[in-house]
Amino acid sequence: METVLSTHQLSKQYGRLKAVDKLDLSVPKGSVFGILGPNGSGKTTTLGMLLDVIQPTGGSYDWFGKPGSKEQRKKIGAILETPIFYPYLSAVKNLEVVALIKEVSKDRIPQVIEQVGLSERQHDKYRTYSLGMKQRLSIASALLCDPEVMILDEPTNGLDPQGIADIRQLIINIANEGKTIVLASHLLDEVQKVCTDFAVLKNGTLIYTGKVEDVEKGESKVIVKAEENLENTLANCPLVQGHIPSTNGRFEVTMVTGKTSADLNKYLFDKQVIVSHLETQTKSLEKQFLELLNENK
Amino acid sequence: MNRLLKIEFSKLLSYRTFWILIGIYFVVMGITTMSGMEFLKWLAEKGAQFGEVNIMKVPLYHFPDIWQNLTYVAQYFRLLLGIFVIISITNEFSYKTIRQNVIDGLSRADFIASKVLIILGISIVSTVFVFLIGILMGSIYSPESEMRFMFKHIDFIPAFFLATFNYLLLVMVIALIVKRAGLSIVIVLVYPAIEFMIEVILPGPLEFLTNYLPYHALSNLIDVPFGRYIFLEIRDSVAFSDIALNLLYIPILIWAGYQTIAKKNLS
Repeated sequence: METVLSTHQLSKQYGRLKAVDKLDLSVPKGSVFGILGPNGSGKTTTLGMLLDVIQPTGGSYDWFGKPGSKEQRKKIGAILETPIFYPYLSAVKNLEVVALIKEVSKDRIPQVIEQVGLSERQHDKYRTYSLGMKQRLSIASALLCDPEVMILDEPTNGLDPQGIADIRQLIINIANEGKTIVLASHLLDEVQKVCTDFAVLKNGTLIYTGKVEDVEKGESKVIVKAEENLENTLANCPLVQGHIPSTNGRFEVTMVTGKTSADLNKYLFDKQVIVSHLETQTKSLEKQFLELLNENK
Repeated sequence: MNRLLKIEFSKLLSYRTFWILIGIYFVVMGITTMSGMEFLKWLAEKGAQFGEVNIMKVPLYHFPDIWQNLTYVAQYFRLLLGIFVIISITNEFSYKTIRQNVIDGLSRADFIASKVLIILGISIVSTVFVFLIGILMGSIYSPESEMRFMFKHIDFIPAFFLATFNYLLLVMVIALIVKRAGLSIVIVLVYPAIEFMIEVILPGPLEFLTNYLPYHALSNLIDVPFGRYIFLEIRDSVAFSDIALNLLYIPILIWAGYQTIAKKNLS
């Protein structure tokens, strides 16, 4: 598979602190790549190095198979940490500066402003904007060059629930156009909802990288409730690896690999156990994330 | 080149502080340099005496004296342009926009180049303005017989340009190092005194070395002209060695400015 971004032993040291330590990442084309990690794990430092604002102390990185350059950055739409614009300029004027830097036409400005829902305030000075509006403008700015790759660092920071949902939909839409997105976040739910791949950083080292769908695979857990005979039947069921009582008379059942809640339902029905509650629990990224962090203590 | 200048313009054209500073500069400098005769009249009323000379007969605005008189006085107002340069650079650090500029695809060298270009532009506009004042005032006050000297000593005009340009480059380097507006203005104000202190500290035979410091170098381009009206010997031309030294300082100052951000993390 074609690789958009790869890092080789990329490192950044601040005095004695290793902010990023020998990082090897590879982002496939067309993926939505989540970079996860607790605060201070090196997410922003990594992105800063990839965008040439932080000088690596070791290692290297390639964009589209070539070492990073300003010409490549012109084709990348990126926001890092908080939105940054000239406070005395309007949204439109700020985007004009970006368009000149990126050497793209100004014609797309109304379109991207519309896309993030800022049209009504587009001629107001940036400093009069709320945090949510600033965040939207930075996404508009990242979209301006119709980028092949977008880098978004905590893009839903400071947004209200509607704003978060809008931005999430926007990311999904952009991804569906075949674009690659690198998304740094500590909101695991967000990464699980939009990402295809993810990497976990801790104290500057990569502790896991893989596909989001793999997290959801594997042995599944089913919550089941029935009025009578449930526990006995479960104990003798060949589809079940184990079961433990849960709240409200429910049981948490671990299925044999490959078997699903539908199989369990059919089995119980055949044994004349009528199920009143049946729920499949997908393994959440959050759980996996916390497990990973604990394993790597 | 053109693109970098356009970027800089789109940052500035809607910025009120820019227009206010530039406006004050041209208005105050224009009024001051054009009111020399009024000043002499005021001196005369106060009873000032230039020896035997009738004060009102001092040929301030006569060709070719006007070029040195005018450029010497006009250069005192460059501090206002310096404040503008400081603000345009320190803003980029306080708003962190330099970082976003680099993320968006400007190299650090492009950033310095865009600032140098705007400084170049301002220096040119300022020089043209002084030149026009010179032509205007000289034509008004010069007697017919001196009109043929109109372009004699016109070399003070390029010297004025060089002094302004290098001064603003020096200010740019200070602002890039300090990164904060207030402190940069203070340092720009005391910087000439620092060079003077070096002159004082150095033992006599080595004092000439201070002439090679950047502020001395650009100040030496245009000598104080007014001594000639009380029959003192003055240098009424621009020395080639001063021009050469200042030309040498252009790449040095730009290089120094670039070094302040070349290897730095922009956070």
